[in-house]
Formats: sequence, C-alpha cells, structure tokens
Amino acid sequence: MAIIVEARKMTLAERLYLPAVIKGMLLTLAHLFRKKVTMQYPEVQKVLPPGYRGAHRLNKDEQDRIKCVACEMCAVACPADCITIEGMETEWNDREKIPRTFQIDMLRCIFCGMCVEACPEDAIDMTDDIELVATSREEMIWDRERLLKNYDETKDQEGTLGQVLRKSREAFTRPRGDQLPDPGGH
Amino acid sequence: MATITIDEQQYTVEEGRNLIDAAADLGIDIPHFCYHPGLAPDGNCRMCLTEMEIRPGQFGIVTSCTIRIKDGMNFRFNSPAVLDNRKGIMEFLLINHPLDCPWCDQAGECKLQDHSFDHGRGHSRFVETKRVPPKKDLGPHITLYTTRCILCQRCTRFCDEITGTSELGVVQMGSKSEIATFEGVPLDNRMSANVADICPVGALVTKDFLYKPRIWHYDKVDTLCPGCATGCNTTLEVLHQKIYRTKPRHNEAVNGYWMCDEGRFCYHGWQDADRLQAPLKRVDGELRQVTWPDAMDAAVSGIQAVLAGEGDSAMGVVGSSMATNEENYLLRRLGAEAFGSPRTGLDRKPDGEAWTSKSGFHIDADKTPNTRGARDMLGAGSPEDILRGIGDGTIRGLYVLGGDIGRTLSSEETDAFSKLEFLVVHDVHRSDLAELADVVFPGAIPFEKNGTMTNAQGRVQRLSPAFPPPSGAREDGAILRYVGQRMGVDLGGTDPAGVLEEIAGNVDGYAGLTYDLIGDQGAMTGGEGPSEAAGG
Ligand code: SF4
Ligand code: SF4
Ligand code: SF4
Ligand code: SF4
Ligand code: FES
Repeated sequence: MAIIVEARKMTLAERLYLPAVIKGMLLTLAHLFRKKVTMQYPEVQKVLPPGYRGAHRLNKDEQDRIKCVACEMCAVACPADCITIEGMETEWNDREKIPRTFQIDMLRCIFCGMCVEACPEDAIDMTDDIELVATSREEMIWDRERLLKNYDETKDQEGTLGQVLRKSREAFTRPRGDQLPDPGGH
Repeated sequence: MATITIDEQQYTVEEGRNLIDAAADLGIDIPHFCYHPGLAPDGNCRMCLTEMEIRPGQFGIVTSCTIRIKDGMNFRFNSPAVLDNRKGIMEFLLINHPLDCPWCDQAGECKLQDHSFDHGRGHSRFVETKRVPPKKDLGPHITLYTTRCILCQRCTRFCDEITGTSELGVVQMGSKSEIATFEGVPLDNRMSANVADICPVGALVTKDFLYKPRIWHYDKVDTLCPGCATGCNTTLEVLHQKIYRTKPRHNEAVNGYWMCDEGRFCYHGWQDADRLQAPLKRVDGELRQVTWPDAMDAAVSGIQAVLAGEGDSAMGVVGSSMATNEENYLLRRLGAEAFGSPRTGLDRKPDGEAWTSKSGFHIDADKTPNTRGARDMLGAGSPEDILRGIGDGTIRGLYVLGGDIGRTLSSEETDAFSKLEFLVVHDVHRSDLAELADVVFPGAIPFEKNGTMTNAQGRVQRLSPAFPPPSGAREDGAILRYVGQRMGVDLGGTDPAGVLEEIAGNVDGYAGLTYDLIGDQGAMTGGEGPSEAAGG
C-alpha cells in the first residue's frame, strides 16, 4: 500500500538558490584566512604519533640475530589470519627454534597491532612506515627477509608500537618475586 | 554401584573405580600429572590431592589417584585446604621449570600449562637460579628436554609396566633428579614413542614432530593404522593435505592407549611415495600416461579379449589386504558378475616380525591391515592358487588390487605375471607389479580411504580419509564401479556405508554390521551368522 507524502513547499528564497550559493562561497572565503590543515605530501612528511601501526618489522637482538622464536602467538592472535610461519632448529644455544619462513600478507592485514601485543619475545613490531606500495599482489606478501630489512631501515625510530606497549605493560605488571615484601614466618 | 558424596552432592558411580576416572565420568576434572589410566597409580606428583572423610566428621588430605571408590565415601574437591595444596604443588613443580612455552612443542596440549593457568599464582617467588640441565638424546625417536621434566615418572613406568624393557630410570637425588637411560642402552623398544604421548609436559618429544606447526592448526581424523593386522585405532593430525603426526586413539579391545613406532611413523612412507598422477597404458611395450577414458577402453577391451578365448576361468582377480572390505567386496562382485566365476587370490603373505609386549600389546607379523577382511570378502583363494593357475594356463588375465608400497615381487611372481596375456593393476606408485601391467589405474593410499577393515581378531573398524587422493587418482571403489559399468555390471552407489549393508547381507559373519554399530570402537564379526555362504 502506497503512502502519499506531500512535499513541503519551498520558500521563495529557497527556490532562488542564490542565498545558499552565496552562503557556501562565504564559507570558502573564510577558510582562505584560517590556518592550513593540508600539507605538501610527499615532499613534506607527516610526523606520526608514537605507537603508530604502520608496516611491520622483525626485530633483531644485540648480536644482529632474528629475535623471533617461531612460537606462532602472533599468528594465533591475528584476526585477519595473515601471518604464516614455519619453524626450524637453530644452532644458537640460547634458543631452540627460529622461523624458516615468516610471511605477512600486507593485503590482508588490518593493521590492528594484535600481533605485536601477543609476541612474548618482543620480536615483531610496527613502525611508522606507511608507504606500502607495490605493483603486484606477490610483492605485498612480506617475507622474513623483507621484514628484517624493514628493521634495518627503521631501527632508529623512537616510539614504535612495541616500545609503547612495553612501557605501558611495565607500568601495570605486578612486582616480581624478589620485589615482594617478606612473607614473614620462617 | 556405589553412592559417594562430592562437595555435599550425591553421585552414583561404579564401585572399585579409580577416583580420578570416576570424577572424569561425572564431568569433574581433578588436576593430576602422574596418574594415567593405562598405568598403575603411583601417587608421586601430589597434584591430585583432595579431602576425604577419614573418620566421621573429620577430613584428611589424600591422593585421588590411589583411591578406589567404595560405597559411602565423602570427598571435598574444592575446600580451602585442597585449593591451597594445589597452589603449593604448582609452585613447587614450577621451581625449576623453564616455562619456555613459546618454543615448547607441547604448548597447547600441556597439562602443566593448563593447570598453572587454572591453579598457579601467576608470578614466581623463586629468586634463585633455575637448574638448566642439557637436553638428552634418549633413543632413535625420542629427545628429553630435561629442564621441562616434572618427574611424574609416567615414562619410566611405561617402560616397566607396558613394554617390560625398563630402559628409563631416575638418576641423582632431590632437586637434581633426572630421567636417564643406562649407559649404552638407548630407549629403542618397539613402542618407545608412546612416552612422548603420555609425558604430561614437553619433556619427552618425538624427533619426528619437533619444530612442526603448532598443534592447534591441525584437523584431527580418526582412522586406523595401516601398519599391521592389529589395526590400532589412531588419530591423524592433518594440515594442508599433509599428515604431521599420528597418535594412538584409545580402544581397550585393540590397542589400549598405545601404538607401535613402526605404525606411528609409517605415514612418511605413504606420503612421500612418488604417486601415480594419471592412468598408465602399455603402448609398444612401454607404460605411457593416458586419460581415464583411454585407460578404461584399454582395460575393458583387454579383459574382453581374454574372456573371448578358451577355458572357463580365464580371468582371475586378486584382492588386496591394503584395500578396505568394501573395495575387496566390489572386486569380488566385479569378478563374479563381469568375468564369470573367476579364481580369486590375495596379495602379500606375513613378512614382518611379531612382538608382544609385557602388557599384552601385540604387533602382528602380517604387515598389512586387512588380510582377514579381504579373505572374508574374497573367499579362501591364495596367491599360490593364482600362480598355479597362471602356470597351467587356466588363468590368462588378471585383475589385481595393488596399492601396497611395501610389496615387492619375488622372481616366481615376476615370471608368472609376465606370462599373462593381460594384467590390470590398481596401484599408488610404479611398483614392481605396476611395471608388468598392461593398464594401471592410480588408486588411493589407506590414509585416503573411506570404509572398514577387519583386524586379525576379527574386529571390523572404520577408516576415514585424511584427504582426497591426488587429482589424477581415484578411490579404488570408484574405479571398480566404472569398470563394472563399462562391462555392463551395476555395482551400486558410491557410498561405502551402502556397500557395507550389502556385505552384511551376503558375507558370513558380517550380518547386522552397520556404520552406527561399528562406531569409533569397532564391532566383532560373527555376531549372528547369515545363512548363506560367503559371496552368495
Ligand atoms: S596487525 Fe593485526 S591483522 Fe596485521 S598481521 Fe598483525 S595481527 Fe594480523
Ligand atoms: S614474532 Fe613473536 S609471536 Fe610471532 S612467532 Fe615470532 S616470537 Fe612468536
Ligand atoms: S619425562 Fe615426562 S613422563 Fe617422564 S618423568 Fe618427566 S615429565 Fe614425567
Ligand atoms: S601394532 Fe600394528 S596396527 Fe598397531 S601401530 Fe603398530 S603397525 Fe600399526
Ligand atoms: S596424580 Fe595423584 S599423585 Fe600424581
């Protein structure tokens, strides 16, 4: 059953349209004298806030070795299911396992940062690199080498997501055993 | 039956049953480490402590694993004393434990991880340095991550009670205690890898599964071990069409909680075989890849040529103890209905070494899983019969269900089979047998089959496919049906459950068997025998 809705009658000013056009132009004019919010990207680069969730990297330790132990916690945490890891044995005696392959499908990634949060080894991190460009889908699947290369390129960055998370975690964790008050008794 | 009280609630449970098992039946989980239903209780880990009424109105702490249910027993599972004890035990167990879950292969199926999540304190008060004993190579299949061991001694008791080989023991004392083998005596009994299954933590691991994808990725498929005629019940862990691990599945009537190492690791041989990707046909004396219709035409015309020659049973069929009951049954029907009362036979004789463990676990000498079933389906024909038939010229063509990667031909067999006018073979790789054939159909390996097999005891059990056969291959049942169709014989639908129904109606000892009845624990043949003889 159709319902007939009667259109409101427009006033003369509305039907002329001119007042509305003039109103809009005045707004534009006013903006010319305000502070600019746009910038000349890419000549000028945006400074991103700490903890920004840009492209991933795989961190290295002091001896320049991959930190990841292929535990797949990041892969489990990832809601987009875009991390694929295959482990292998290492010959370093302080570690049992490292990844043979480590792939992140950047096309599927939703840049949520869960992987960084999940990692028990502080091995995966997100940087302020936001220029993810490629000419093929394959290139958008970042492998172990690509992710390690990103570490070399961004290792001086302050305030990566991992660093920010670690700081807040330290602020909230309970004291360790040696910092507990003496329980008393024997 | 006995009536017991748990936390002021009354339950009826089986008298004499172990308290942990009885509680599990009721859906109550008593945390424990050293108790395993397949081993005698030992009471050493103290994780299972609960309170029991020892005198009217007075409760005392007891180990649940050593309690057998008696009428009127009264327990408290959640009293403050019990919870406190549990917390304390957890803390002791974690004193030297590295908690290296990120790279421990047990993570995700580890009791210590689960229990410390549920009952642990979340942080450690232990400030001294943890002991870090090195990992040890215990034997061909097993590595010990000594740091992770909580000394529950399930492994040593397994070697004492089940295999009777006693390779493992505890050396040193107190906090230095360690699991060890004796000098020069590795853990190499035929069931050694079971210790990795029963180790509640990641201390004992199989070398085969080390560094493999995490356990939560896998699809689990309940099926049977194709390694011998015992037919151990197994669960396969499958990822991306590949098997990564086999674990025994509990079946008290067959394998208990165990399986042998050969069977556990036999999936490699099958999986790594160089599989046939398309049918083969002999052209100018050489096997060439052809299309399915091409191969069918060749097979049917070859068989018809043999049948058109002189003699009654010119075609013989040979069943396979690697094939399911259903496939062997279809082969028999194809033989009877399309080839005209042929001679039947069966592949491969027992060639392994039998072994029975102290606890009675039996590894069969017959290294194929379905000899009994194939014989039930095909009647009493033997390989010798077939060879004799070929020798005296009454068998001039043969249709063989192969698909056994462990099978090689003896020189007499090679001689006999080369004499045949026409040989059709189902196989999974280019075996000796396939090399002699005129037409080879690429079939499925046991891990790709759906159906039933009958073990040496006469127990009919279900087989489920872990993945489909490669794209160029087919299930053997489907191939048989296709050949039947081309020769004007309708072998029925593709559903193995339907074939089993037919078997139940026609084969001696299989009356009344259905998928439902077989379930996941199998059913014995010979329940109530049908009146007709095998094959009708
Ligand atoms: S940022 Fe989120 S979506 Fe992207 S890889 Fe990490 S967890 Fe997955
Ligand atoms: S990046 Fe971290 S969470 Fe992911 S596998 Fe490596 S160690 Fe584990
Ligand atoms: S190795 Fe495993 S099964 Fe053996 S005592 Fe240690 S924790 Fe128990
Ligand atoms: S005993 Fe036989 S059926 Fe059992 S696991 Fe070993 S080979 Fe397989
Ligand atoms: S399970 Fe009872 S003491 Fe270990």
